[in-house]
Amino acid sequence: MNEVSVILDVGLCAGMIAAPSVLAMAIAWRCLDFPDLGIEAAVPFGAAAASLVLGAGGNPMAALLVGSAAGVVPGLLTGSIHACLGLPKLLAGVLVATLFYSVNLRIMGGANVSLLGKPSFLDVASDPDSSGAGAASFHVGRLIVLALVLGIVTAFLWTMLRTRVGLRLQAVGSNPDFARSVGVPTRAYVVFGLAATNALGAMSGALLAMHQGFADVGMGFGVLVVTVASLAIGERLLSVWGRRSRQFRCVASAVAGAIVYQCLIVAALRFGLPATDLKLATAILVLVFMYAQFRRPAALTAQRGY
Amino acid sequence: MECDVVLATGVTHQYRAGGRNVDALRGLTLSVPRGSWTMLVGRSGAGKSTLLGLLSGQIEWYGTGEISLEGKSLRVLDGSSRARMLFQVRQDPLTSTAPDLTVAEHLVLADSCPESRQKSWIHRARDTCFPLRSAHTGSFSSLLREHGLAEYLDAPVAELSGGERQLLVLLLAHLRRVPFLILDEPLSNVDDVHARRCLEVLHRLNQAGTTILMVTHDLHVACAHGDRLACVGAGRTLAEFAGAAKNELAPSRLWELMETAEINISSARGAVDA
Repeated sequence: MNEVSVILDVGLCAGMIAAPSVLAMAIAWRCLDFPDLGIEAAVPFGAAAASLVLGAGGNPMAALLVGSAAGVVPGLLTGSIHACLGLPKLLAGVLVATLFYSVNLRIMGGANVSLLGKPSFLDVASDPDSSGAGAASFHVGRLIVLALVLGIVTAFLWTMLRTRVGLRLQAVGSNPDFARSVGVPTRAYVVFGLAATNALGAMSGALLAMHQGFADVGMGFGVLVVTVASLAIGERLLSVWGRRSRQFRCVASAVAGAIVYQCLIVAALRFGLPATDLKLATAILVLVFMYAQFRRPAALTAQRGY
Repeated sequence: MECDVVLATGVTHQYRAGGRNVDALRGLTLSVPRGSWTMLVGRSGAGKSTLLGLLSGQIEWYGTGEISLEGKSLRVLDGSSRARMLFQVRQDPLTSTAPDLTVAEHLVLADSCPESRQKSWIHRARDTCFPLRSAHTGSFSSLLREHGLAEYLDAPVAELSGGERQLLVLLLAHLRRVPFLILDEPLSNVDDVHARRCLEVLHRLNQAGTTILMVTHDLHVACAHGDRLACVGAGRTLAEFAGAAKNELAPSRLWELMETAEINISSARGAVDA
């Protein structure tokens, strides 16, 4: 029983921290048709920016906001490289991810920055177990803060996707020719859409840095595969939940997928999976879920709208 | 005097295929007066689709001559002003719609003049934030019902058949409220029932003042509809018909015209080669 609660506690926490970056991939890939590798730059860049604010004695709330806003920069860059210079989407993302490795090293002044002793946004609410009053192993305070942040972000995105701006963004991803014919400036939507999704990725980075107590230049490595794995799991889970609007499925599958994936990973580690095999397990997981998704009959795929 | 919607004079255009230049247009001249419905006929490779591509901006124009759209030179028009001036309906409706989006979402995006524009700021804000909600209560459902598509309001466009999809594209053109509509063989993939419905929509649009330029291979449709007709061949205008001449035009006469033009062109080419 204790094992299950530990898995849930750690998995929920990690899942809710990763959820903004999975939401970013859901919007960039599923709505804008842009599998954005630049997300691997946005996550450490958000962490670096947040650590800079915390290092200067800033408020943790300000650190979260600045960290998220910083993500706009790699997003604008990836979008501009693709839309203005005409480079392929993947190459634009790889270039930005590579470029920001050096930028992050410069900002942090080293491969990692310790945030120990600095105030964390996640500890705004105190945990009951830290006062020694109960034997609960849940970090309730931390989970509540994360759930609040994630709730606000998810509600905002769900609403946003149903506005005129959100619909135009999805039109650009689904068929740019159609979008142009109804007067949508497609290039601008790609650039600003990626700026928004990268800000979400950076939010994940800032939250992760505050959660684990340090920012690391390598924390973006493999984010793409993890977000894709989470998304694949989420979409599979949501597909059994009847016919919902595409926007709801997009947002809900990202959040559910992020949490379920992280819980699965924590469980696998607790049950003896060597940490060195983690990436192998993730890749196999992606393969299995993607295969299951693509093997579905065409009619069902069309109904899903993806 | 009111200017023509399209005025093309001496237009040339080349494209590269298989390592050599191909002349798609060799001095094409065409005028499309405001409010007219001009049919454009000609054999495959005559330059009809190239002309439409130049007008819509899909093909970049490096040739000589002059094309003006609403009195403005085509060379200075950008994408957004083109989107305000014209709407293109393609042969394959798949390429004119977004398969992931629902029919209601298409209508919301195409609607250039939301009804709430005249209403209070609360209505405008609600329409901006929740456009789909007003799509259900507004005139969209009655528009779809009128054209037999009511059941599809919330369905992804991928669920529609080819004919239904082309009809939807024409309804989008109606909602765009653009002054000029260009159609590239819009009925060639469409069944008879939907073709008739599409032509009804086009007649209504034309009566409301929309100028139409339509490429078609169906000479019966070309003769039965529209008030002007231009026959092109090998990148040039072979003949233009308007008024009574257009009304009396028979498909057999058009067929003869295209056939003789082909003979003339091939004998001219033979003379050059010799």
